[in-house]
Amino acid sequence: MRNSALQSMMSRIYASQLTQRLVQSVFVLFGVSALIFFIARVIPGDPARLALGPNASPEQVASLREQLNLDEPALTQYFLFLRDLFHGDLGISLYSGRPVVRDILEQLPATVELVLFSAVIMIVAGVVIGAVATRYQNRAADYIIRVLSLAGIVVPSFVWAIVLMLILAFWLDLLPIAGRLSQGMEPPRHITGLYTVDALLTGNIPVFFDAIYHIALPAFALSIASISQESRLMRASLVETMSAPFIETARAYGRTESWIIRKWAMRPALVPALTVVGLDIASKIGNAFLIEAVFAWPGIARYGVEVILFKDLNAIIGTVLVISLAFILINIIVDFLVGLVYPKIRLQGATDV
Amino acid sequence: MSSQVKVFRAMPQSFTAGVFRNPLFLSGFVIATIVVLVAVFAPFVAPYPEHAGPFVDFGNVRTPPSAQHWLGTDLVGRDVLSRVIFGFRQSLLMAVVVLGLSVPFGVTLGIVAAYFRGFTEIAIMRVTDVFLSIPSLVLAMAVLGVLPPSMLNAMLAVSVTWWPWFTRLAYNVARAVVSEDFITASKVVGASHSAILIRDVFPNCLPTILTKMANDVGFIILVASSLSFLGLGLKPPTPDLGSMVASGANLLPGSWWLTLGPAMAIVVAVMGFALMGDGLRDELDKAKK
Repeated sequence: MRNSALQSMMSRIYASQLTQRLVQSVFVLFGVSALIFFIARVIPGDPARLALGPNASPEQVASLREQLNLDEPALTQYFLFLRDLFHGDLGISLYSGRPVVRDILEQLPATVELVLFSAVIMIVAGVVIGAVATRYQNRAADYIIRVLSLAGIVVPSFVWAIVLMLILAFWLDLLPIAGRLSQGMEPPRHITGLYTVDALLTGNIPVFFDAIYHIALPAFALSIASISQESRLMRASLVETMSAPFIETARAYGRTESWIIRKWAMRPALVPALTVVGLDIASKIGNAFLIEAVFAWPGIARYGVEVILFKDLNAIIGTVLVISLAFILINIIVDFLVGLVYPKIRLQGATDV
Repeated sequence: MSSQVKVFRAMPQSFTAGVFRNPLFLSGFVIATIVVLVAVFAPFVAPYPEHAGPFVDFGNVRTPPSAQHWLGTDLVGRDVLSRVIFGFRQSLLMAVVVLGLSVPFGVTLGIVAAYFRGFTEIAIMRVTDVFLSIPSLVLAMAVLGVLPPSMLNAMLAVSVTWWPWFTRLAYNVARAVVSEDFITASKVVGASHSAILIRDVFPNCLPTILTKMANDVGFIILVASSLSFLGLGLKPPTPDLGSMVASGANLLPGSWWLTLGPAMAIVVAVMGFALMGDGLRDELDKAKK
């Protein structure tokens, strides 16, 4: 009885903490929008002239200035931008000539799919490698993990991508070098925009396997840097957990080491690894820019590079805003998940506030 | 709580001595020193220094690695090794300027926020949060995207993304320092705010900051090469490791040495500084105990 009252209090505190995080994030997002907006407005020279190039007539420049509200004071410009933003309007892309929101919505699912796949690879591989290294605790395993994690950190992701592409795609010819589907393959009916999910939902098995076949290499290249970090952390926290008194109890019951790791030690040991998952996924969003460039993956990161090279202000602001939003959301989701896996964190966090 | 921070006004002797016995630091230090020396003396070290510029030799185009050209030659017949060696110069210059701009700025803000608390703290740390909630590479790209492409602007763009990390680091360390008794003692004897910040708080943050700086030299090289890999950095013919990898990647799988040579150069440079940073951190943790 008392226990359930305590539980409901805990979950209330947890809920209010989450709300607080959400409110805080809204402010951060406003800050991000202001920051990126003013960065885009401090360009030396006339942004309209810059976008249209030296051959545009003065009338064209004037009409673009009008369209971008460039003749208003900076603060007014920002408020006009915010007003449009609340109407889901990020302006027209000079690069594609279409609404930025439409462009982004079209490009986003490919990137989401890529990041999701690589996150799954990272978590599974990280946990498995970490657990194996703990099970066979010796200098060799320790050494291998340390070298791997160093390699993951110091080798830029575009180098991983190129090396993997060279070996697996060009030399061994196991995987395709570019694109989301084979030539002649129709994309599945648009539901979520993630080809694998849509193919499953519509029961289109050949497309599903073709999509997996195409995403495997870029997703793996994107996950390498963080696999090593996750496994190193997983190993460190598993080793620590394995020396806890409750594990001694399990040993006294005569349970095998593997059983203890799987059933008892894994859950508490997952917490530190989970909290860095958020940060790792965030770094993936940045690295996705490089991976998409290497594998010609038609996602928002590739769109971002193109609009930046084109000096398309509306599209630059929109892309950065969407990416930051994704970044903030992922961190909130991870916090929520950590609370779910390990209830003690909820209360600890609450007493901190 | 009170004695969690080891207080010292200068680097203790045992620390400097221990560092040079740490194998991680030592191997990193050797690699980093070689990279720096090679970069500084590039015109004397490079086998074909004139190949760093707009040189062409159409008789020697895309030759694979050989005794004359250890890393082969590129599309217009230039020696890749020589260009890699000159590429180190750009990378290191980038790292030095970015750290020179972002460390003093970031650290000052962090220490000030931790010391004065209240509104100053909230204002500084919330702004820092905003900068930290955009992935670094994306923010650097956006800044560089709206500025005209040049080496200086690339340095500015990376600095804009770099200072908040130092603000957060200095803030975290300084918060522990300012709650120490000796800070209260300084206040009691009437030391001014700036004296306390400069003489008491800053020296105690210094070891942690230096450790991060050693690590960051490598990571700045990494970010800078990522930017130029995407075509947002220097324009040819200046040799730049990232753009060399990018232009070589277009010729895969044929002339693989055009990509892998400069790519390995980036890895070696980043690894040297990362190892140095790791070793320093190990020793710092030991010194705190």
